[in-house]
Amino acid sequence: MSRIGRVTGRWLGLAGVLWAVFASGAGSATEPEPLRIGVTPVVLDEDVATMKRWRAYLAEELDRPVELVRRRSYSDMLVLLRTGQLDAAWLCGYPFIKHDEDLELLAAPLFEGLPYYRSYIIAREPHQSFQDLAGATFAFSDPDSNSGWLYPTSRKLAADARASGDFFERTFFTWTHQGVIEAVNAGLADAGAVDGYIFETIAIQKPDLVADLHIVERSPRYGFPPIVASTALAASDRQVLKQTLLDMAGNDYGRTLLDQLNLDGFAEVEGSHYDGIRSLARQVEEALGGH
Amino acid sequence: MHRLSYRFKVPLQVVLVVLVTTITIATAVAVHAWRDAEREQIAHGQGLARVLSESVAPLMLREDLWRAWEVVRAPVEAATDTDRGGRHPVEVILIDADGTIFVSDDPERTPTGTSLEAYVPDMARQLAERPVLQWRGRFNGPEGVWILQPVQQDQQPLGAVALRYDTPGVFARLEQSVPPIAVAASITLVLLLPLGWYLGRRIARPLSELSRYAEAVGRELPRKLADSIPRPEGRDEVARLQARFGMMLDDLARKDELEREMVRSERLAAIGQLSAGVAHEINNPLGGMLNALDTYRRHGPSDAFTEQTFSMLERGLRQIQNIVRALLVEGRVTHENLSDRDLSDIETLVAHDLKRTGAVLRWVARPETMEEVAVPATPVRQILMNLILNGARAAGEHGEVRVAVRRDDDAVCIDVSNDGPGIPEARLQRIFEPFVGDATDGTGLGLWVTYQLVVQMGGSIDAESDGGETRFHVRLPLEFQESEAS
Repeated sequence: MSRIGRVTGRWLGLAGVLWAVFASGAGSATEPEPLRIGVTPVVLDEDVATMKRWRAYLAEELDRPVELVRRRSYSDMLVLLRTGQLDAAWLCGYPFIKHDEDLELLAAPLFEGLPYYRSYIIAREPHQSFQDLAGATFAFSDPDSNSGWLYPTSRKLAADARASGDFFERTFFTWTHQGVIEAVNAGLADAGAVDGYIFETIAIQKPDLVADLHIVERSPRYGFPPIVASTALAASDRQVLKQTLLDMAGNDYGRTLLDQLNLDGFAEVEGSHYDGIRSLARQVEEALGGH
Repeated sequence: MHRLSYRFKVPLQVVLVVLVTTITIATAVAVHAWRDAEREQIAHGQGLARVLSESVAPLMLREDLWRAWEVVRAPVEAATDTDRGGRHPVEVILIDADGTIFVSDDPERTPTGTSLEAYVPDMARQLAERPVLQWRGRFNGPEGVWILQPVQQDQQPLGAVALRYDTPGVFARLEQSVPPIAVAASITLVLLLPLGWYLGRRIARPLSELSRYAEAVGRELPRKLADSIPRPEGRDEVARLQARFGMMLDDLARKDELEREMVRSERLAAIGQLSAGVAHEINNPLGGMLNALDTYRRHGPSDAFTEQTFSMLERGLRQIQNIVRALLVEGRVTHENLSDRDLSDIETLVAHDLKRTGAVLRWVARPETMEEVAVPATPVRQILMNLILNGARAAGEHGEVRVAVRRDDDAVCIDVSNDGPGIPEARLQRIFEPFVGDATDGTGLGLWVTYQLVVQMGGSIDAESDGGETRFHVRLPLEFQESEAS
């Protein structure tokens, strides 16, 4: 992930906060309040052009201004969401299940036709299997990411137990999935864990970035990172947003936008769709002795 | 170098000075530019190191490999291909307090965990001797210069940030600055070299001119050289040299003329003495012979044949007597001075000869009153007549004889000139000697007599002949006459 993208993200976020303060202070009755949606690295949020188009589309469809907000980490985003400073967010299933009493599930994206994705363990040439990664430097993405931390940690813990010690020599966080790809490419890490959907999408859109990488392991499938809304958001607004998302695949322009993110549409799912992540989380937390 | 003419030596030296100066200055500027580039690189590096040190401190504390990598990557990636100025580091590494590399901008080249001692042994050795907080400064190595800055949080040493700069980058900067310097130097040379050459030639010119004249001294007449040498007005050494040389040539010319004059006078005096001696020797027996003849003719028997014979003898002896008398020129000093009537007489006397030769007499100058021209009449009449007749013969048909008589301070000057064919230099030297010249000039004694008369009066006579004019100039000092008279 480029520094420019991160900086832009930060400044946009800051601008968003200021705007929210002013807007709430001004409290104009004539203009509707903007809908504030948080975007995390579960999608290619640093593709600024695409994000702009999505924002415009949603604003048009919802007939109200829309703001896309970015933060440094999933946990930063969660704080905003849970304190009502964000109305909705597109985030990983793992933070959702941790706070599902405060968050309403709106829709799950369809990737390759289904609302599922996998976690990929990726590495460069000499490493062929997970066992080869003993003593490696491993790159996670975000500590609140299922594909970027939860799943690979479960694998690491199993390997630690077998090795009776630390399986990896060193681990660190890159805070985005693209960052993991970069780190492994540059040799900063020997291997890493990325969101499989992100990996596949980059492989299509910027194949050079993944040319030297190969997939050591694919996880079982888990629920795709959903769009969730704060329960503080009015029910009607939640409904409208949900419907807009579900209808996106029904019109040409919407399909074009979905295509740019390598998605096929949105589908309504139940909370139980993420049970896989729930049980994985329990497993890991137990192994780590509670968090 | 000694054999080279000053015409080339001086301009060459000027050109050399210009060349050396320009090259020296250009080199100095280039060296300065290089030092500048080097200094700038170091200063920039130290500034960057300080900034990076602050940024990475919290990241090293938390062992945030990713963010630390993002920070150290930036300055290296900022360099583009076209930036060859060495302004950007080619390598940035963060070193842990235990001497291992925490992260480098290129993990493939320098993986995390590499020991500094294995990677940059010299620098590692020096750092090992100091506390971590003293890991600062510059370290020169074969691949460039390392600039270090310690990293600390709340006085706790965490390690150091090290930047490596390419020394070739400095050369690249130099490459940028050398062309303009070279261009400026070349333009300077192109302008100054011809100028320098020209100035050098100008300085050398009077010297070579002087040298030419000096060489000509033996070969040509000093008078000619003295007249033609330029007399510059400057006050510098060469101008003074030229002026002195000109004066020396003047002296030389005068001495040369004096010598000729003396030689001539001595020769004429010698001839005079010889002829006087011979004449005296002849006169005595001649007188006796004429007496005897006279006596016989008066008292002795005679017949027609004897009378005829004795007449012939007498004529012959008288002729000899005339010639002897002419050789023994003695100017009779009379108390009468030259007058207008004398001049008119002269005109009358020469008229016949003028008519015969076809020449014309013209008075160029004639004194208003003859009182101021106090010279004895008899010898001066003779002198004037001789010179005019000479001139008439030389001028020839339609020629002109010009006569000038004037009073000049304490002397009387008589100038007689004709526009005849002229007298060659060789003959001119001996013009006053007796029997010089071809037979058509009369007895050959005319100018000899004139010379003796002038010298006896204490005066001087000169002959000049060039182009279409032959001039005789006589100068008779009045003082002499007065002292003689009294």
